[in-house]
Amino acid sequence: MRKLILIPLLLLGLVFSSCDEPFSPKGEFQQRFAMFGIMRVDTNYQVVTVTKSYDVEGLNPYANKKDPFVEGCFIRIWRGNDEVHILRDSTIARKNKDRYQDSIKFYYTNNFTPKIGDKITIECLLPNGRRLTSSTEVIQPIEINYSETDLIFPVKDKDFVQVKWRSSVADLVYMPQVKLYYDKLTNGVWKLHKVNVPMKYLDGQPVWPMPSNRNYVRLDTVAVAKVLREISEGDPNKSDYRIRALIYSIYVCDRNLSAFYSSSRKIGDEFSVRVDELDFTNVNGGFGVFGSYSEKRTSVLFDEKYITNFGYKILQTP
Amino acid sequence: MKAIKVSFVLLVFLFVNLNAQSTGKLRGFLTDKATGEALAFGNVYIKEINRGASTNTEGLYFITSIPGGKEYEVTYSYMGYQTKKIKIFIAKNKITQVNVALDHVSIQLGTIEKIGKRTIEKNETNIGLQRLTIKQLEVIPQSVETDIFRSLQTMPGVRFTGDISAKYYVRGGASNQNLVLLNGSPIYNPFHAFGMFSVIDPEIMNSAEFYKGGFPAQYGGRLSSILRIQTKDGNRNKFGAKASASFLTAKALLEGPIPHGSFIFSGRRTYSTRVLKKFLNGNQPPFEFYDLFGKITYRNQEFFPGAKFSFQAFTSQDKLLNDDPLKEDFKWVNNVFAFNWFQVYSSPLYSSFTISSSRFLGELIPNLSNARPKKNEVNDISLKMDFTYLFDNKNEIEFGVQFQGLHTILRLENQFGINTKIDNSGAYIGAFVKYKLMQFENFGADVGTRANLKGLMGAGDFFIEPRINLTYNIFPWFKLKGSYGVYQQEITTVSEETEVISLFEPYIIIPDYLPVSRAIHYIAGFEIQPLTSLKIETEAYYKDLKNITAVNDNKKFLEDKDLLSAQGEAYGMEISANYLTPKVTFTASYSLAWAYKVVNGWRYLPRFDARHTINLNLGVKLGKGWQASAMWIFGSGLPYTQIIGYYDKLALGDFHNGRYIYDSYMPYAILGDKNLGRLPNYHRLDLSLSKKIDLKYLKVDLTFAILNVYNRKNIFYFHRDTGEIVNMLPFFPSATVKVEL
Repeated sequence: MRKLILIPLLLLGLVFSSCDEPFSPKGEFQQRFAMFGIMRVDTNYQVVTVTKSYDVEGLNPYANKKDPFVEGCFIRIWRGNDEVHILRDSTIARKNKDRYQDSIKFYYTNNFTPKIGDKITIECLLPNGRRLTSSTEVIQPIEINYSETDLIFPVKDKDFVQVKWRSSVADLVYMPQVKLYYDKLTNGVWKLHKVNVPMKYLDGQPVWPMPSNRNYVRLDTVAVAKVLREISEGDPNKSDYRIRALIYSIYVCDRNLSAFYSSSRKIGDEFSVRVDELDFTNVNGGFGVFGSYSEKRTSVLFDEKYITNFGYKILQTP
Repeated sequence: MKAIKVSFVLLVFLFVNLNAQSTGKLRGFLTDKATGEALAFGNVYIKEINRGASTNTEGLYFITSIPGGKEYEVTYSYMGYQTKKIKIFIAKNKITQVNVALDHVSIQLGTIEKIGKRTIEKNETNIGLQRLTIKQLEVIPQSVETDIFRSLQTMPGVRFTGDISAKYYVRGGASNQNLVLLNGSPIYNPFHAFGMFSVIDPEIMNSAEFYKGGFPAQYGGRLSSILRIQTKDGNRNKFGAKASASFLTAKALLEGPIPHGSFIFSGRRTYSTRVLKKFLNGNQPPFEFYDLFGKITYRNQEFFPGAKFSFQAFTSQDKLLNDDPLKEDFKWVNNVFAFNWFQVYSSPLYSSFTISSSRFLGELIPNLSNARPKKNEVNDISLKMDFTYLFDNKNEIEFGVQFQGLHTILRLENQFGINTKIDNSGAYIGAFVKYKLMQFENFGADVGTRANLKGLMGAGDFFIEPRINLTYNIFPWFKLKGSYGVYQQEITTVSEETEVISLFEPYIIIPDYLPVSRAIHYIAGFEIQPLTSLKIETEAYYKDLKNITAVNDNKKFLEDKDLLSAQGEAYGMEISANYLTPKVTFTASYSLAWAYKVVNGWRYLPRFDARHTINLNLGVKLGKGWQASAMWIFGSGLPYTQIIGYYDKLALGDFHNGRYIYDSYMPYAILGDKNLGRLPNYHRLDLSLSKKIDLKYLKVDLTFAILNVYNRKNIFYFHRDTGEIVNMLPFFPSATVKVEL
């Protein structure tokens, strides 16, 4: 009988002693390099960063406090086959110093404005003699699909306002942003103001347009009305407000940037678990992305009667 | 060409037959006396002539070439039932039909009958085959629910990648290479709740046959394994009801007689998912599932002599509905309807005709979340007709035809945001013939071939799949076995190997730009039975996998293909020892295995490659309805991809803020070559104790189990971004109660 009593005691002992084995998911450190460059069509100032990989004690990569920026790179950008630009290094002040203390280092050129359809190639010669190369083609902006786009807000018989667009290339990532443009009379002068408009409110919280491959953005009528109310909240002089329009700014990423963005998104759903997912890169010889994006703007005007109901004035000029 | 030559040799072999003598035949059905349910794989034995047969899944047995005009004592036996000896007169040149019903041994006795003498099946070609009954499943300690798929995982040669999943991998094959048949109808996604449980409630199961390889010619369409589940027909003698509850589900079963037949209906539904937090690392998803099964069987010997008609309907549904529109919803549904006509003719011939419809729908609805939409629809209509003829010399010929119409649709967005729509339909027409050579006492052969006349895929043209299984008894206690077979598969799943927990595996017909997947199995082994109660089996195998599909992880742009053609091979050996006495059952098995996959010229170990696996299973009947069991599993660490450093990756978020290029960087782990690392070894001890209480009108079965008794921290996976390790099931007690009226 005594022996029988020992069995559950032994089992309990096993439970509480547990059984654990030290394990590290890390293998031998191998040096890699990453290059990021996103060409903007709205400026002649283009920035490229080059960093190297690092290792840390343990599993918290934030423990690395040494800026991995790679100095001494020789970076060139070509437009087509002839026009070449050499990038120089520079620094700007770092706002967030949680990880790295020094200024932010980067490479730039201030003499290169990409144009729609440009074929741009980049080559980075690293101090160790290795090369990182990549290329991109500046994408056409989207075209507004006016047959499925609402031009005046609010829309009769609909509780939302929609702007829809099309692109010549499928599966691109679009980044829409909607702002309400309005003027406010301050000291006798009309001053332009802008405020972001969410798609909707859920439990009082705004839901903002997110980058996605959806080729439309819909704003709830209620959400727009809420923003319209809030701009003058607490101000009894409603006539000091002059509403212009809803201005849509839609960025479209090229294929490389779209793929990079999609792969950077969190896991596909809340419950699926993936391991060793591939990391998108179009940089030969390393990680990172070299891409471009373009922008299209459009506006949705307001119905005058609707605006005057708020006590505001209307200015039908976006 | 090689395959055609082999097939020709086999066909020549088929027509080797001997003339009938003045003999008689004995046939009939072996059933449970209380319920009328077929007793599959039971034994019928005539000692005087040392001849016997095993019952098939319908409970049908057939013994030919019995010297006629004489009375014999025939022994009918089945594990857990009282053996019956009946004197039967065998007339010359006639079929004597004797249906026998066996009494279940009272559980109070705490004893079970020995199974039939081994001589009955000594030349049976059963390589790679495991047979299961619900009673065997109940001996294995279970997590939350008794589950047939989880029970398979305890068999040598069958691997799993985590406690959470009932998904299984057989002898180095991917999980989509396993076919699950419910009464002959395919089920495409036979899992509930992220693959944690099978959709098939074991209460409806009568028997199961599981082929780990070398499956004979009547089975096709998959490269690695076949699980054939035969359900109960329902109690033909009286009405009955069962109800049971676990921490997860409540279920009920009703059965009873109808005029000239029987019915069975069962249903299972989740009522709480709290217990699943243990499986999902503290996450409690708001999902629910249910499954319903119904079967009506009709036998009218006056109007349809020798016929049995059955109609079955099965449906399972999983739903995960979030109240929050910022989260995604899921639903996945299986619907199976089938009609079967089983016919025993006046000659030694029987046939089975099945028409079935199997539909799977799986959908991920992203709502306003970041989740990527997925939708998969599979519609399968199959028609099968098989005939089996038994010759006087004990040999058998089986042949049949199969038609399958399949339509698969898949829409998904991959990790690079690329949308895919694959819409394929195809019609398969095939036939098979096999000859079972049983006439020699010490030698058995099962030779046959499948002829794929038209494939589902455009590329799936005429193809022959020869199959050979051989058995040779060198000594009465020593049996040699061998198998060779060619297998073809024209459907695949588009689930990435990187997904260790997945909601569903979408099935599609392999697109026409890829060749048909094929495999060749070579298996050899031996079986030793030094004692009646002890059997030792060893099998070594080599599986050559050609043109298996792999998801193109690198599909970055629309024009890139979704799937790639990959190659693979798997080899290894398994040894198992089974000790079976009325009071004690003990099984020990060891597997040594290698599996490789080659994608784009890169050869790597798939995630389910486990070098060593040990399973020990002990069941003891303690008497007075008490039963205890213990199971210990050991598996070599599974492959994983190591972190070889970190880099600061640009976090694209707000493009409208131009500063992101300077300071929006997050550390990101860099992975080394695929699956070069090994996780620590897996091991776990499970214990269970059950008590059967037999009251006057009620049977109560109480089971208490503890999984992972010593709380081994088996690693499931680690988070790439944080390195956080997620372990598998911890110390986990569970209980179930079952009540039977």
